[in-house]
Amino acid sequence: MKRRDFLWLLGVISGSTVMTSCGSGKSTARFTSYLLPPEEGIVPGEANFLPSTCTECPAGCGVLVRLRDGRPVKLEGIPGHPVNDGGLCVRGQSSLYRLYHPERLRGPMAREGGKHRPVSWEEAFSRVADSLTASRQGSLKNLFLSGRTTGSLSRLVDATCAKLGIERLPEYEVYSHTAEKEANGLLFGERDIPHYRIENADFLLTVGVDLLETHVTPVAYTRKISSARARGDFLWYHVEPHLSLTGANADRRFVLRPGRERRLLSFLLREVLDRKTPKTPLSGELLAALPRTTASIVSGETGIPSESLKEIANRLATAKRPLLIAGGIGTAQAGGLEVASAAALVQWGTGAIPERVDFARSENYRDVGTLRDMEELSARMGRGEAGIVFLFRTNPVFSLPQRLAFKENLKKASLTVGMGDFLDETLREVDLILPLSHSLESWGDVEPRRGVMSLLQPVLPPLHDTLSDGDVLLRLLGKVSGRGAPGSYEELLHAAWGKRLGEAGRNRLLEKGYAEETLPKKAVSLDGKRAAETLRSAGPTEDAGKPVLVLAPSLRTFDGRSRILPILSEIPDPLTTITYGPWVSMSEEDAARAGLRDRDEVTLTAADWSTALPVKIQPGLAAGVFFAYRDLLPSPPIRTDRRTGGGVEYIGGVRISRTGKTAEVPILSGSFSQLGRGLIPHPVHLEEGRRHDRWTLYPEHEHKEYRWALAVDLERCNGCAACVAACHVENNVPVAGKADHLKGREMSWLRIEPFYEKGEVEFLPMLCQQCHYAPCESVCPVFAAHHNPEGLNVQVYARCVGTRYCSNNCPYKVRRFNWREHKWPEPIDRMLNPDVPAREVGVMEKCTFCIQRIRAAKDKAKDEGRKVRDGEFTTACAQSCPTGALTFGNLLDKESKVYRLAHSERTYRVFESLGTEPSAYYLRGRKP
Amino acid sequence: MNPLALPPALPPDTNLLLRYLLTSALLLYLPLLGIVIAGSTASLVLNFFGRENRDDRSLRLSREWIEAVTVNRWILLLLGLLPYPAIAYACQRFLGGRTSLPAIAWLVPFGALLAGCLLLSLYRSAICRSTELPAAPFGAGMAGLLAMISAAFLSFLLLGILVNPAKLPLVRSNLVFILSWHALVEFLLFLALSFGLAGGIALRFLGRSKAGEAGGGPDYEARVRTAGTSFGMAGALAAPALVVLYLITLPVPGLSTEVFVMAAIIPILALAVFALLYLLPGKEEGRPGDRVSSLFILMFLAVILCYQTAVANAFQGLSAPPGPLAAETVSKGGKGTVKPAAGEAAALEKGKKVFDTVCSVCHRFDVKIVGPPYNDVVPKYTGNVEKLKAFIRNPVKVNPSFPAMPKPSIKEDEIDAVARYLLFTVKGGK
Amino acid sequence: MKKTLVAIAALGYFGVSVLLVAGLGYLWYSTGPAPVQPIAFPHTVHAGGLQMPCVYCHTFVERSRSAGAPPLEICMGCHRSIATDREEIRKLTRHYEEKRPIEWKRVYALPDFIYFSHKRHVKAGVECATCHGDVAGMKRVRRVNELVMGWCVSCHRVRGASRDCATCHK
Repeated sequence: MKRRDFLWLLGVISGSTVMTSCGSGKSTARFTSYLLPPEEGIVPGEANFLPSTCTECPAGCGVLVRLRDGRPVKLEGIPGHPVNDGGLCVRGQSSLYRLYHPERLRGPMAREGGKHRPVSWEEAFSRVADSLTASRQGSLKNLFLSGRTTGSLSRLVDATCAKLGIERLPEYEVYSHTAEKEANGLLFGERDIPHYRIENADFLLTVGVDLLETHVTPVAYTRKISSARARGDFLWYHVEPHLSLTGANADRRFVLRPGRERRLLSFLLREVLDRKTPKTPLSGELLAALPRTTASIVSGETGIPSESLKEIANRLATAKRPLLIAGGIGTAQAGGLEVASAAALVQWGTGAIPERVDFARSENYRDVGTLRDMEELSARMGRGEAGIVFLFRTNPVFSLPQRLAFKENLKKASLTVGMGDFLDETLREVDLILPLSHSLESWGDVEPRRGVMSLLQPVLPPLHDTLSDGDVLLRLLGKVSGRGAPGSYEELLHAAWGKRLGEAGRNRLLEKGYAEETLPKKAVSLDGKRAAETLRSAGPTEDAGKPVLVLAPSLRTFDGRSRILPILSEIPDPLTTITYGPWVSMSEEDAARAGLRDRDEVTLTAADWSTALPVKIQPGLAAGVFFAYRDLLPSPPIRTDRRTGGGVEYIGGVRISRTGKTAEVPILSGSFSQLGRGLIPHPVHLEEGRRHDRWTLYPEHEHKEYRWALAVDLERCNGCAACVAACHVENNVPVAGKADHLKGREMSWLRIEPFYEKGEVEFLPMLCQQCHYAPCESVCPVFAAHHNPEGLNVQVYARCVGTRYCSNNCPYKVRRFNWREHKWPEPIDRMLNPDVPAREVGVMEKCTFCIQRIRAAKDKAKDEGRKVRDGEFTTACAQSCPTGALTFGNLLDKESKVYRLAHSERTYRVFESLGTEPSAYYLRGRKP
Repeated sequence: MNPLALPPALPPDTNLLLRYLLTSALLLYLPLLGIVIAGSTASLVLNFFGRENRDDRSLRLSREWIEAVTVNRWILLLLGLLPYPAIAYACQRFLGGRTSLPAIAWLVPFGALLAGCLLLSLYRSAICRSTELPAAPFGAGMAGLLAMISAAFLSFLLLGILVNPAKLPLVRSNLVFILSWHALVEFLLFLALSFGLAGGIALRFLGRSKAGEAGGGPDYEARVRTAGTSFGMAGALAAPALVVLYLITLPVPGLSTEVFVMAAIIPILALAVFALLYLLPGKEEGRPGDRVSSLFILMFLAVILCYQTAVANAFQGLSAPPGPLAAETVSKGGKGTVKPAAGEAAALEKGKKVFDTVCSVCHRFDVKIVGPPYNDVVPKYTGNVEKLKAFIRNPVKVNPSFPAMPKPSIKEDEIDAVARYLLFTVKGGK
Repeated sequence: MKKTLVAIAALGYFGVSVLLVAGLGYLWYSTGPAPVQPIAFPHTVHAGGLQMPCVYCHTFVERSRSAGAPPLEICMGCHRSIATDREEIRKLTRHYEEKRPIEWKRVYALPDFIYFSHKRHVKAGVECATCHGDVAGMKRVRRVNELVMGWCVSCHRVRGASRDCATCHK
C-alpha cells in the first residue's frame, strides 16, 4: 500500500493546481437546440435505423443504417433481405469509411494545364452541354461507359443517352463472368448468370469459383451454404488450381493444374451423362460431340488422382440434388467457354435446372460487357472516333491491361467526363470530373437480381458538393434542353415505384428497404445443336505454361475498388494474415527449391510485363502455381480469350527470379501451426484441450441476472473477417497503419487466426475471452481491469495508467495498447460511434462484448419492466457474420441459444487447462 | 425520510440574521479558542523545558503566558463556551432543522471544550501557585490541551459541512463522511493564526518584569521577545501557504470572486506582520505586540468572512425541490363524482400526467391563465373525442381574445390520453 | 545586506502566494460555472414565476440519456405572441425565422467516456434539483456541483444503485 500512497501524493502535489479545471473544455463546450422537435420515433441521444443498400460491390446487400443524431455510424444487414438476410461482409461493414473518407471528391473539377482545379456545377454542366451540342455537328460518337448498373438508374441512363444522342456501351466489370454468360446464352438462350439456389442442393461441386469471397453475391452464397450445412446432409467439394478462402472451407478441396478445368469437366460430363438420364434426352448430335476420356487420362492431365476423380463423379451422379457451379478463375481462361458449356450441360444433365439453377431470377449481368468490348472501345478512341466519353463509376485505367493503351487513347477523345467519388487512376486522366454522392447520401434503387428491388435512400445530406447518380443525369438533361432538370431523381423514383409497386408496395419498400416480386417459373430448353457445335469447335487444350501466376479476386478489395478504404488494408488477409502491401503466394516446394523465405522479393516476368513482389509461402498451394490478388497488380497483362472476349486470369510461363532484397511486409500471425497447443482440437490435440475438473482456490463468481457468453462455431466460421470489420466500426478501433503493424502493434480487437495442418487450414476467431479468473485482472496495479457482476472483464479507460502488465499476462494476447495517439482526421471523426469512447494514448483496450449494446438493451428492458430476452440484441461481430458462426447471449437463460451451444458435445474452450474459465465457447468442426 | 432531501431554503431575512449570528459567534469563539490553545501549548512546552534545564526564565514565562491567555477563568468560561451553542444553532438551522445532524455530533466537541477548560484551569491554578509543577497538574494541562485541540478540530469538521451542503445526505447516513480535507486545512490555518496571535499577545503583555522576581531582568525580556517573535513569524509564514491550500480544498460551489479577494488579503497582512517583526524594529524601540495582534485578529476576520461567503455561495444554489407540480391543486374540474371504469383508470392517469406537465402551463379548468378555462371550451367536444384530438394535434385560433395555442409536442398516444382525461374531468363523465 | 536578502525572499514568498491565489481565481473563472448565454433566458421567470415544470421544455429527459435544450418551436409556441417587444425575444424570433438553432454554452458537461442516462435517473425518482440545484431561482444558470465521480458514487451507495464500473464508464 505504501506504493499507492506515494503515487497518490505525487499526484496531489503535481495536480493540485489544475484540479479546478479538470473536465477540460467545460467552458467552451456548447450544445445546440433543435429548431423543430424531431419527428415521431426519433429520440435525440438514442439511435434510429433506416434501410438502404450497400454499394461497395455489385451484390446489392440490404443494410440497416444506424443513425445517431442524424449521422450514420454503423451498417448492419437487413434481416430477411432476399440477398443477404442480415449478414454483411467485410467490405460492406467497411463501406462506411467511404462515406467519410477525407480524400473524397468535394466538388466538380476541370483539368487545366495538367492539373485539376475546382469549378462550379453550372460551369461543368455548361461545358458538357456545349460539347454535346457541338458534337451533333461532327461525326464523332459520344460514348457512355459505366460499371454494372441496374434498376431505375439503368433506365435513366438509357433514357438520357437516347435523348442526348450518346451511345451506351456495354458495362465494364473486371469480373464480367463472360464465359458463363456466353455458355448459358448459347445453350439455353439466357445470356446471364443464373441464381444458384444452393440451399436446395445436397451436393455442391464448385470449380474455381470463389463463392464465399467475391463471386456475384458472396454474402448470399455464404448464407446459403451455411444453412445447407446446418441441415446435416450437405456435402461440398471444391476444385481449384490455387488456394482460396472458398477452397479452404469446402468439405474437400482438390487441386488441379491451371487451365485443365476443361478436361475435368469433360470427364464429369461424360460420367454424369453415362449414368444419369436427363429428363429431356440429349440429341444424338450432342452425344456424338461429347469427348471421350477415362479417369486415368484425365488424372494425368489435371493432376487430380483418379480415385478422387471417380469419387467426385460418383457423388455428382448419385446425389439426389447435385449442383455444379463453374466460374471465376475456373472459366476466366482460354477454353473458358468449354468449361462453362460443359458445366451447363452437367447442370442440365443432373436436373439442376430450374430448382437449383434458376434463370428466372438471374443475376442481372446481361448488360455487362467483355474485355473485348473494352479493346474495341480503346481502339475506337485510338482511331479518334470518340467525341465525349462519359466514365460513370468505373476505373478501367487501373484494371485494364497495359496493351489496351486505354489511358493513352482516352486522351484522344474530344472531351472526357468522369463521374465517381475519388480521384482514382481513371479520374486523374479525364478533363471534367463530376463528383457523385455516396449511396448513403442518395436516392435510388438497385435490382441485384430479377425480382428483387433494394432501396437506396439518403440518411444524411451530402457531406460535400456532390450530386447523386440520378440527379447528375437529370441536371445534365436539363442543362442541354435548356428547360432545367425535369424534377429531382427522388420525385422520379417515387413516381416509378408507385407505378410499379402500387401505393402500398412503395410504402413497404420505403419501410423495409426491399421489395420482392414473384416471378413465373422460366422454362429453359437446351439448344442441342448449338451445344454440340460449341463442343466441337473447341480447339485443343492450351497449355497454360508452367509456372502459372493466378490472379485471384480479393476478399478485401473485390476487384481493387475498395483499396481506397484504409480499414481493408488494416484487416489481415485471412489466409496469410498479411495486412499492408502486395505479395505473391508461393508453394512450399517452389520456395524450398528457390531457397526463398517469407518477405524475400522476387521479380515476376511474363512477355513484356514484369513486377517485383515479396513472397509469402502458402501451405497447401500446389507446386508451379503462384497467386496474387488482382488489386495488387495494376494493369496486369491479361489476355483476351478468343472465343468469349473475356479476360484470362492466368498468366502462364511466368519467370521468377530473386532480387536479393527483402521487403517489409507485416505478417501478423505468430505461427501458422498450432504446435500442439490444442487451440482447435483434433484427435491429436484432444489430450491438450481436454476439460478436466479443476481445483481452485478462487471463490466462485456470483451471477444474479445475466452472465454473458459468446459461442463460436468453428464449423460455420469461414474466416471472411466480416466480424473484424464490424468490430472496428462499432467500437471506434483505430486504423494503426503499416509502421505499427511492422512493430506488431495491431489495434484490432478481434483477429482471425489461420492454422495450417497438412495443407488444410482452419480459422480461429480470437477475441477477449472475458475470463472468469482472468490473469489480467489480478495484476493491474490500479484496478483498471475488473470483473463485473455479469461476467464481463471490464476495462476502465479512465483508470488505466499504461503499465501493460495485463497484456503481458494474457495468454490469449487479445489486449491492445494505444502506443500513440490515433488521429481521426475530419470527416472520419464523424463516423465515431458516440456510445463508445475514443481511447487516448497510453490506455489499454480490448473487446468488451459490445458493452454499449448490452447497456442499451438492459435500458430498454428496464423501461418495459422485464429482463433482456434472448436474441433481442447481439454483439457487432455476431450480427455481421454471414454464416451465423457467432452467437451471443445470456448463459443464465437456459432457453437461450448460447446456452445450448455452450453445452453441446462439440464445445471446448481455448486453453481451458490454464484455468482461466473463459466466457467464449468454441465448437469444433466435424470432419465429414 | 428521503435520504436525498436537501435543506429547505430559508427566507432571506432569517438567512441574513443567521449569517450575522454565525459570523459574530465565530469571531468570538475562534480567536479565544486559538489563543488558549496556542498559549497553553507554549506554556506547557516552556514549563517542561524549564524544569528539565532548571531555567527560571522559561518557567516564569510559562506561568505568565498561561495567565495572559486565560485572563479570568470565569470570563474565559463564559466567552469561550457561550458562542458555541450559538454556532451549533446557526449551523443546524442552515442545514435544515433540528434533525439535520444528530445531537451527538455537536455535544462531543462541547464536552471536549468543557473538559479542556476545566483541566486547563486546574493547570493554571497549579502553575500560579508554583512554577515547579508536580506531574499531575502538568498532566492535567496536557490533557486539557488535547481536549481543546480535539474540540477545535471537531468544530471545524462540522463547520466544513456547511461549505458542502450536498454532502449532508451522506453525512447523515454515515458520520465518517464528516471528514474532509477542507476542514483539516482550515484547522491548520486556524492553528497558524492562533500561534501568531498568541505571539502577538506575548509581545504585548508579557515581559514586564518586576525587579526582584525570580527569573526577571533584561534576559527575560529578551526571552519573551524571542518567544513572541518566533510565534508571530511562524504564524505569518505558515498562513499564506495554508491559504492557498484552503482555496484548493474549498468545494467549488463555495467559490466566488469575493472569496478569492478576501483570501488574497491574508498573505498581504502576513507580509505586514513579517515586516513588523523582522525587518523594522530595532532592539529597544517599538513594541510591535499591539500591531501584530491586531493584524492577526484581522486575519482571523478575513478567514471567517471568507468562510461565510463560501457558505452563502454554497447555499445559494440549493433549495427544496420544485414546488408541487401544478397538479394536485389544479384539477378542479366538473362536479361529477363518477368513478372511471377499471381499465380506464390507467389511461386517465396518463392523461392527467400530460395535463400536469404540458397543458397546465396555460390552462386550468376553472380560471384563465393564458388560455381559456377548460370548463368553458371542452364541453362542446362531448361525445366527440376525435374532434378534440384533432384540435389538439393542430390547434387553430378560434377566439380573438386569447393568444394562438402552440402545437404541443406530445405523441399520438399522449394526445389520446389527455383528450379522454379532459372530457372525463370537465363534466362528470364522458 | 542580509536583511535586504531576507526582505526580497520574504517579498517573493508572500508575493508568490498572492499570485497563486489570483491564479486559482482565474482558473476557477475560466471553467465558466455560470457562462453568459447567447440569449439571456431567465429560469426565474419561467420555472420560478410561471411554475412551468422542467419537463415542459426539456421534453426528452424521461425518454433519452440527454435532456437537451428545448427546440425553438416550444419557445415560439408562447413567444409568438407573448413579450414580443423584449430584445431577447426579438433575438429568439430572429433565430427561429432565419432557421439558426441557438448554440447554448454548456453548464454541465460530463467527459466523453462517461455514460449518464437522464432517463434512468428521472425514472428512479431523482429530482432535477438534486444535481442541478435551484434552477428556478437562477437568473443565469450556474453550476452548483462539479459532478466528480466520488459524488456520483456516494449517491449510488446511499440509494443502492449499481456501483459496478461498467455502469458509467463506457
